[in-house]
Parts: sequence; structure tokens; C-alpha cells
Amino acid sequence: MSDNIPFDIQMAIMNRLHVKSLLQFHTVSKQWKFSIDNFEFIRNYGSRERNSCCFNLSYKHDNQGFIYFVDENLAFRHLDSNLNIFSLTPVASSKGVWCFAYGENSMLLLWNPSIKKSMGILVPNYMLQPSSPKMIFGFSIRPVTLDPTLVKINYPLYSDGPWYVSMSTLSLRIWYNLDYDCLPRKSVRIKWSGQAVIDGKILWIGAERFFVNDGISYEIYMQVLFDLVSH
Amino acid sequence: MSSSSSSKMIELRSSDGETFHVEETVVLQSETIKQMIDDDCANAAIPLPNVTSMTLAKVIEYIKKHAEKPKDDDDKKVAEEDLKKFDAEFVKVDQESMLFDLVRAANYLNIKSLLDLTCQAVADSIKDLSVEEVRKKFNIQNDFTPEEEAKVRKENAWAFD
Repeated sequence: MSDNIPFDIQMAIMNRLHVKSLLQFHTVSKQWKFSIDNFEFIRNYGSRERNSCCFNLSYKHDNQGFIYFVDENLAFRHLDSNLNIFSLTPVASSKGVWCFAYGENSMLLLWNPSIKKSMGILVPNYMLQPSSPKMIFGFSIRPVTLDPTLVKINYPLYSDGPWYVSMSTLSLRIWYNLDYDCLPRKSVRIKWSGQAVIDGKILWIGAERFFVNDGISYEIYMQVLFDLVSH
Repeated sequence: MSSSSSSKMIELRSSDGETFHVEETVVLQSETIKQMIDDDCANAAIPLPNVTSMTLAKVIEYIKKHAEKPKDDDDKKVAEEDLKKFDAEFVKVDQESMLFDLVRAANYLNIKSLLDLTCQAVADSIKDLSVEEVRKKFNIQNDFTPEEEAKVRKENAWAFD
């Protein structure tokens, strides 16, 4: 062979390998190991949606937790993991990457099962939350940049206090707060912590309670959304 | 090829000096050559110093096949099947070095579909190889000390079952 395949093409070839071959080839050279471990590569690998997955099922049994992928034919595929899934609360999964809350919301954990890698991200100001706080997390892989993005929402649980929202991305690794003027009114609350991601936006079901005479109240439901593209 | 007689012909010259005449519409699949034509550098034969005549002939066979336009929708389905078969046969090359030459040529000429096809073929051919065989294939020097290599192997032990 006259000359070699350029390194970026070697990577393009590696990107097409199954995970098992990929992990074996860690020992080919330091450059290969570095690239396989490199986060950019993990991101690209994980974000190739090769298996269409309808939803993910996690459950606890005795002292163990289990996770399954469920595909459109309702076939179950067990996800093997060294993680102690029992101690983790699922936040969401996006493009094959999972996000869990751990240790009473003190840490978020990202897990890419296709390459068996996970990483933890500390939740900031965990000890300085507003009194009786409600904490809700959002997670999605950002469109285009494929950067895993985390959103943290806080507000008081028993009173009409204002929202505090911070966000972080894995590439930045720092959290910053969103301006008050782009947050929902303090009378709006999220009804259920489950999220959906549609069209580059994380959506939750929100509700606002209105009081009429005689102490009767009613609720109006709405969407609360976080735009992954503009933030 | 009756309808294509009006298309302009482009001359390509391989590294070993052989010239090939290809219709402009066909050759535009190469982003590299397209750029040269856009920049008006294609009045004379385009020199391709990184591509041998043997490889270039293969590349031209590929882009010619992929330039064929189906006439109607029925035809389109047949053509798609036909193209799939062609692609599968195309990467079944006798010599392994030919596949690597095609990868390099596709990369140099910037023909994305050919690069995808050949990269996948290489990936399929190395997936069951040992680490040592992969090093040999890509001409990669093992720069781990035996201790380091053992440590990395241990970290990924589950992959070696």
C-alpha cells in the first residue's frame, strides 16, 4: 500500500463499527483510544439512531433496577449496565442518551448505553433552593450541535413564588440562570414532571389556577416550553 | 446515451498520465472537480495527481451509474434496486488495496456517497479482525507499552468475551 488512510477517514470507518469491535480497537494505538474515548466521538456515535425505539421502560424489582428498550413491535431489549439503576430516577432519554437524577437531585447522570459510558454532572446550588422547593429537570440532545442540554426548574411547592430556571450543556459544563422575563408567571405550575421533545422544544404540561367568587377555583392547562434552539 | 449528447465533456488526467473523457453532468458528483469547474480551472485536462488510472476508471464507473436518471416512478423503484445491487457488487474488489484506494479517491474527490459506501465496506471487512490485524491493515504503529495495553484491555474486558 503506497500511503495510508487519513486519520479522519479512519474515524469515519470506526464510526460504522459495532460497539464491541470499537471497544476492542481501543488498544490499536493511543490515537485511536483517545478518539474512541473522545467525547465528540461518543456524541456522534450515540446520536446515530440505528434502532427505532418506541419508548424505554425502567422498573425496580427487589433491590435492582432494570431498563428495557421497547420497539415498535413491542419487542423488549434489555439494556445491560454497570449503573445501579435502582438508585436513579429517569428524567428523559434523547437520541439514545439517557438522563437520570441521582441522590435526591444532587446530581444528574448522563448515560450512553450503546458505548457503556456515563458521566455525572453536579446540580448547582443544591443547598440554596427556595423554601419547600419543587425541582424539575428537563433533558434533550440539542438539534444540530447534538450537545446534551439540561434544564433545571425550581419554584416553591406550597406558595406562588417565582420560577428559577438554570440550564447547562455538556460542552459548556457550567450552569447559568435564565432571565426572569423569559420565565412563566409565578402562578403557573408544571402539572407533571414528564416531558416531551417536539421540534427542538422541551414541553411540559403546565396549569394555572384561577379563583372566582365563593372560593371556587378552576385550572387552565397549557404548554410550558423550553426552546433548545434559541437558548 | 442518446439525450446526453449535448452535455459538455470534461477531461480528467490520472496520476500515471492516462486521460478520461467524462460528461460534465456526471463528473459534478465530485465536489472537488465541481469546485475546479466553478473556479474556471477546467479548460484543459484536470490533473488528479492522487488517483491512479485503475482507481479513476472504477470511480468513473461508479459516478456514471449513479448519474443515470429514471424516466418515471415505476422505473425509479427498479432503478433503486438496481443501484443497490450495483453498489454491493462494486465494493467486492479482488484486491484489498483497491478498496483502500477507492476510499482515498472518494475522499480526495469529495464524492460523499462513494465515501460512505467504501467506508462501510472497510468497516465490514475489519469488524472481526484482531487488534494486531487492524494495525497492520491501517499501517498503525502500536505505541502502547505492554503494561499500558494490558490495562486498557482490562478496562474493556467485557468486549473481549
